[in-house]
Amino acid sequence: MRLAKFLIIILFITSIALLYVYQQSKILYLAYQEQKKLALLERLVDRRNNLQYNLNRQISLVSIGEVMQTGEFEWPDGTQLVSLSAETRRVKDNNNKYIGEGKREGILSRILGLSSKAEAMPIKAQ
Amino acid sequence: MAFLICLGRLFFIQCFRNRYLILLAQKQQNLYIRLQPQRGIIFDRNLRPQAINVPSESLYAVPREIKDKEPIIEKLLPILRTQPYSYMGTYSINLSDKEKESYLREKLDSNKNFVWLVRKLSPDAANMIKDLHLPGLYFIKESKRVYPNRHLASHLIGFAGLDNKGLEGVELYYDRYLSGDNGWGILLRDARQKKLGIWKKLVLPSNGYNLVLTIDEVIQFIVEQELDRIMEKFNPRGASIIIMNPSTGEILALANRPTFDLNKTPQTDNKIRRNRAITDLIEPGSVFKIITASAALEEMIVNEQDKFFCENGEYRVANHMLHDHRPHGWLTFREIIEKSSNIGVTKIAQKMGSDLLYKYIKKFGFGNRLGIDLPGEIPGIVKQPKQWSAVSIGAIPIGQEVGVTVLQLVSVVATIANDGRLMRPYVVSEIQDGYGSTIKRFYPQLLSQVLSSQSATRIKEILVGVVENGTGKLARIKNLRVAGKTGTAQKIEANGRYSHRKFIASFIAFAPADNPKIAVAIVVDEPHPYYFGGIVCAPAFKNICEKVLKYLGARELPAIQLATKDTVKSF
Repeated sequence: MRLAKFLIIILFITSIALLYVYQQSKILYLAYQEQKKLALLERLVDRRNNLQYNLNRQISLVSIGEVMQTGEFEWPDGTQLVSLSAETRRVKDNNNKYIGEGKREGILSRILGLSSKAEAMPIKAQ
Repeated sequence: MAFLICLGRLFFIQCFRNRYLILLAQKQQNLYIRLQPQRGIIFDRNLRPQAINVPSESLYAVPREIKDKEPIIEKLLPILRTQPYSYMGTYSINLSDKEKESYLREKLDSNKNFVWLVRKLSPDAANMIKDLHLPGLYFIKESKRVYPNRHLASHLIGFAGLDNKGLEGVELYYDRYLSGDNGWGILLRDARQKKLGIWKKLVLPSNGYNLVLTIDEVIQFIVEQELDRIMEKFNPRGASIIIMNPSTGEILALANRPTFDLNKTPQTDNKIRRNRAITDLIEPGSVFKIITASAALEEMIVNEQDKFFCENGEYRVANHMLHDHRPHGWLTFREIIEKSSNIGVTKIAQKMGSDLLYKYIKKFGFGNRLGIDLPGEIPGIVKQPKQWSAVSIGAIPIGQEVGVTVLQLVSVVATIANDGRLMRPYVVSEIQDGYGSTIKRFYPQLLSQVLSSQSATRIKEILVGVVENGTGKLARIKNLRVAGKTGTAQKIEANGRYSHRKFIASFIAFAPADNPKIAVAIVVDEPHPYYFGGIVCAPAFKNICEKVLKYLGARELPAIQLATKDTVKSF
């Protein structure tokens, strides 16, 4: 009887111990997996950073300036810059809210089906 | 019996050896890692990055693990040859192939556990070396400081060295903000000493703060382009241009020639790397007449219409004969400045007296540092009146016997443009954390009220006359009033005499005269064949001013509204 109890206890402790060892080995296994993924992630992030830097370098003013020097480039005058605005009609955005300060379309225009046109006006007069 | 022995051994290990064994296990399992912070990014005023960090890999070797070194050297050399330059040793120099070979051999022959071979390789080179799977070679990841705009604002931004410590410019001046603080952690290792992704303890590094400069990348680019044009056309020893916002003291652009690529600083001569706009001393010449004229107006010693006889081009001061560039007879005070008569200005200074003139020279900031947040600023040289000789009253008012910097010259015109208020120049407007929140903001700082508003307005009109009718005609811009002053100063030869071949050409100005947006100083050292400020520098000012004002004006435009789905339907 005593022996049986003793064996049961030993078996129980051994099972717990085995379970613990299994848990620890599983943790280590997951740690290895995570390490691999982390290394891959780091490699991708580093590559992204390097590509971003290369991009910044290419679009830097110095690089663009070098390209400009090969061709003809002129700083635009204020009169050459235009703004496009639907001033004669209020428009809605994707959320169905009115944007801009356009005037409301009159009843007559609506009845007669007169569409408003966009206006391009130079921002600065000559 | 055996059981008792086992039990006894267990007891001994558990009770008497436990501490030692725990420490041994910790040493094997734990790896202390120092975590380097990311250096702060430097932005221009529109948050365009000027200095950033990219990841890089540094190659090290464990020579004890390498049995045969020759094949390794043979395989590494062709890859290192493709690098434009490489950090080999403690600092990088441009080594020849033979030097690289002997360097590698020396490193691999040592009997150490760790030797650096190459720091901060490019990603391609690192991948090529990794693909070779060479024994005894390993990589450590490091952060590399890079500058996407290469030489743009190189002297202002400065650079960080191999260990990401600021060595020049803003990188040095604000190094304690940019550096950040190291973190540390204890990482678990397995029985093979392989790192596991489990941190036992982790103290994250504190990344450096970001800086927002006052310079505008576009304005800086315009200035640098113009400097390149000057260098090509006049082949001078050097040149500097500073653009300042006169109402705040913000530096919008600061550029010097010769310049250097910030990504290749180890290959650059020290002399090129100095920021000559604040470290070099020059005799300013005729631009200094503004000081004399301003002082005379402020002290009500002269009026614009007062006439002075300019001795037909020759005037004796003590034992020295003073000459004008062109002989003049009677000139009004205004005409003296417009035509830049040395004799006229000397007579005004003689009327004023040395003490009063000295007072205004100091008021304008000469002889003192203006306090710009860059390393290396010099105060310049201004002699006290008791040190003046009999000839000095004929020299100092016309910009000789004084040493000034380009920064001090731009501050003069900025003061006049700003209604007589001298502002402290500065290059950093804000310090931000990694999330864009402001840690510290720098505000415009008034140094002194040099002139009254009325005097500033009067001198402003005279300077407009210099451009409209005087020596600065090549700076005229259609439909825009520009106020400026030209200067052509003789340099001093080795024998102590003024040279007839070497000059410093300068032009300082602001525009628009009625509502100044920019103050500019252009200084060119030894241009040739032409050397007059009005010929060398004034046209450069015109080119810069037209583009910069166009750009600044364009920046006030509202954003262009793009067509939406609804607007498209209505067309």
